[in-house]
Amino acid sequence: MRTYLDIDLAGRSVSREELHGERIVRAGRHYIARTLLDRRIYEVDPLSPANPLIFSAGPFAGTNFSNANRLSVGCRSPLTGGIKEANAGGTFAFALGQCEIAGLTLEGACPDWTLIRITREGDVAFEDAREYLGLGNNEVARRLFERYGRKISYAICGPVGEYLGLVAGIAFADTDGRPSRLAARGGVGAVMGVKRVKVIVVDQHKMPTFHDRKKVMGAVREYGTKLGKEAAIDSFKRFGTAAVGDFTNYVGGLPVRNFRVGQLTPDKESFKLGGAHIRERNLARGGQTAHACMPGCMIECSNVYADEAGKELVSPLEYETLGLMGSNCGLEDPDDVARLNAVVNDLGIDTIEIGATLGVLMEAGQGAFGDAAFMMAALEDIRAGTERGRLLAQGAARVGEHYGVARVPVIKRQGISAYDPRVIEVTGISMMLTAQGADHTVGNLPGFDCNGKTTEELVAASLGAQVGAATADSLGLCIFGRSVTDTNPELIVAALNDAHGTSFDHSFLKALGREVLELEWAFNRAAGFAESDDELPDFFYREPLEPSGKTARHHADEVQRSLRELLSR
Amino acid sequence: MRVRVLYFADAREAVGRAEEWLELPPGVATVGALRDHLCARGGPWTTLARRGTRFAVNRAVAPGASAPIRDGDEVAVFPAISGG
Repeated sequence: MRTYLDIDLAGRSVSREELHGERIVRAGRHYIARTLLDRRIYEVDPLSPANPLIFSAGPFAGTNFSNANRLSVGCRSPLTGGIKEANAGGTFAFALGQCEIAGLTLEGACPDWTLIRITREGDVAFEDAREYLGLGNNEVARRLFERYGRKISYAICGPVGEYLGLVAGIAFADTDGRPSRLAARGGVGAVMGVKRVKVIVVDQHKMPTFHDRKKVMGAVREYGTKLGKEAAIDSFKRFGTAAVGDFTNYVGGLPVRNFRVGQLTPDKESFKLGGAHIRERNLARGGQTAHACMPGCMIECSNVYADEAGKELVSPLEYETLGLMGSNCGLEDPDDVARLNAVVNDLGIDTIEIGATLGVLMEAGQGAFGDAAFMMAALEDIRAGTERGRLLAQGAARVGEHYGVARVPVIKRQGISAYDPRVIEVTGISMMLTAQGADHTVGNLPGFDCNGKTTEELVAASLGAQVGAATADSLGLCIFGRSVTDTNPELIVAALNDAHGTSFDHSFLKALGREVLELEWAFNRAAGFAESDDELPDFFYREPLEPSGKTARHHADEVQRSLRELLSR
Repeated sequence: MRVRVLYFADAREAVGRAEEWLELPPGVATVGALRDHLCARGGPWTTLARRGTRFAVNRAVAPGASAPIRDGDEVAVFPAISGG
């Protein structure tokens, strides 16, 4: 059994519902999509108190099941106007699971800034949060640990979320307590700001109960053993996600200077933003090249990046940040990116969206590509909430509109992630098709051979990846475990059945993921999205990307037609 | 036939070199044959056969083991990859 908390912020009351079996399993992104559609949230102003903010943990949350403590945060996105599930690692879902809480929904808004305290007994208290207002997330985290002890987790609405900046995410504690794991995308932090909920603190407690605990623990061990044999996992552990940069730079799919070119340098030895160089530099400085973002995770793709003196600069330093805040803004040195990344983490904002935004700002001539000092000044404006800062906090699409910029890399008003869709075509199609806006995590296949493939073939590959990701996102699983998760459906389903007394067969997993996609598309249709909203910005179709010389081949109508055909089979 | 082989990330660490020019014996004319040829060196070279290892020819992802390679080609070897 798990408990779901529905928290009425205006009335400061809590409704508790007992969940059993299937209702615990259909969690995360599935629960969010089903709830938001059923409640017709597409009719609600995203920046009004009526937009619910959902935090949903997976069915294995609270255990040391590797990569099974992801958290889904959902609402109608104020950035895109569509549905949003922002996914985060860290310890918050773990803590919810340890308190046998499946999730919680924040309804309405508090009259004053509030801290919500959830204890191991399941009690919910509302405390005055005014002392935390305007502080960076690192200082808020320090005070939280000082006040509540180390055996907690937290969710923080950062200073940008307070003033409803659409680049604002929600920050969660990592395994060392840093506020560095973000549900970053889509402006979920602004929705928390609307509700005047500054912080949620949850106790970490103990392993939750299961239908057959012994068998669940057996599955935990078996999954871990299989992970340990995977080359892909070994690579993640040693090189992190930054290794993608070596690849995208090599094949010419890296965003460079606002997606002007696809390669920072043709010489792999001089490319410093990739996994090889970062690992070598970080090891030499005494940093950590493997780090688990959530308890029990054996993939350990995260890192702690150190400066020349061996002092922590930031954790983590990830590929998408290196791509959008790095090469996309003309930076070539990971130290520059790391320093900016640390500030962005303290502000609790989306590194992808802010990287895309600053690239657009440079495109507008407001600063020079490669000028890290200009970027830092922009971030400090965002922190201070100056007029320019508040404009930049609205994200790439709105900043592009403000300055009349023609080349704005967004889909559904969300910044395109670090995969140029002219070269990394399947990921590009995933970012076009998804209801989430330009989010690569919905179906990322950067290494897929796209040459000579038809739109239909690539849409089929994207759909397969999207179903797998949606399934993982609905079970609290990190998509990076896919080499084991996707090839061992019997193991996953048996573990679910043993955990919660259900009787699913292996077909459940794909059906779950497919249902998520259908629900999300239905939400966006009801919100007024049309086929044309899937189109890439025009410049991707017109401008050949050097060095490959490729232009985008796939238009929204053809992509949608292929999708409809695939779904009808 | 001579080809240039570039090793990235864990492939580079495993085999202990960043790149090399290779004189290929007759019959080694595809990505799969090149992989087998390299694996035949034994020891750490066998890691190149691990699932998920990716090959690119002349900076384009190779469609599979049957992808042809020609004299003067550049072949890159990558680990399994995915972004964050």
